[in-house]
Amino acid sequence: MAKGTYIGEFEQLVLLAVLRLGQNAHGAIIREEIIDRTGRSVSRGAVYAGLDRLEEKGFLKSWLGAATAERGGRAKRHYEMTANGELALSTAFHAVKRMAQGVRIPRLA
Amino acid sequence: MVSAGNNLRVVREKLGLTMRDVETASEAIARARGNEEFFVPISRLTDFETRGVIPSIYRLSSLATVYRIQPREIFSMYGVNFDSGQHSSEPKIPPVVQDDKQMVGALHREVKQGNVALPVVGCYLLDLLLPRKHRESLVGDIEQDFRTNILPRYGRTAASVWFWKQVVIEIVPGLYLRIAAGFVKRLLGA
Repeated sequence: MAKGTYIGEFEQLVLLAVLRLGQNAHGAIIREEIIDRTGRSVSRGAVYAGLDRLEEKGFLKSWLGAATAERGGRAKRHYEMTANGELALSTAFHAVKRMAQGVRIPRLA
Repeated sequence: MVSAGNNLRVVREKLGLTMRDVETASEAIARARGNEEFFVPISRLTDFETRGVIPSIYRLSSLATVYRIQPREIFSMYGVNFDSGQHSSEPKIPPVVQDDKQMVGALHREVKQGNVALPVVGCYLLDLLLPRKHRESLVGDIEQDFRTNILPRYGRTAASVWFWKQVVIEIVPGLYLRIAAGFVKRLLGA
């Protein structure tokens, strides 16, 4: 995998969250999904920084939704995974799978 | 109000719906009606089911549609019974029942929350120090949480404290990185 297309562990979590949420994916709910499923404490800034990096790499595309009153007239930014994002996630996932093959990982259910 | 929330959970589980199912269905309702107030995110549903938070009329309407029950059935879970002409199914409870007080209080808080502005200095710091690209979305997320979650539940003072905590959490790592980058630049330049 070329250096520019490498995705780290946190980026993998962000991509998986986007994939799980489908059309609903936006910053706040992506963060909630990561917290709910991993138990990690994640700041909003960290999630948005990760989303920016993934968008720069061409793994996500984003667009602004409608502004709402409860957000103080600010719009939500929605995210969707691109074909390159799917490929990068699949490559990263298979790399971990190959590395783990034949290895007994303690405490892995 | 926790028991009412528990009843909502029982209804949902009897239908075999996950929280995600309810969120997705309510989003479709909100889209069809062109009003985001009908949307019930998972975090809010959790609040209704486990923390005693009372749904807004819009969200209550969405839940009734998704659960295929009459809105009055949800009202009755919260002790509001339209059929009897009273606000409680318990005949021995005085007219002004505690549940009604809580509900009226919550409704008043929901009405008032629209007038409560976020602390100006905090907003200015966020505008100044957050990266431009996700500034609007991030501040919007904080404001939405502030108005729909924190303010109705804890009141103005605690919500302000919560807001300032969010400001610190969001700007400190960025500030640290900027200072560190400046330090490295100076080292390399020297």
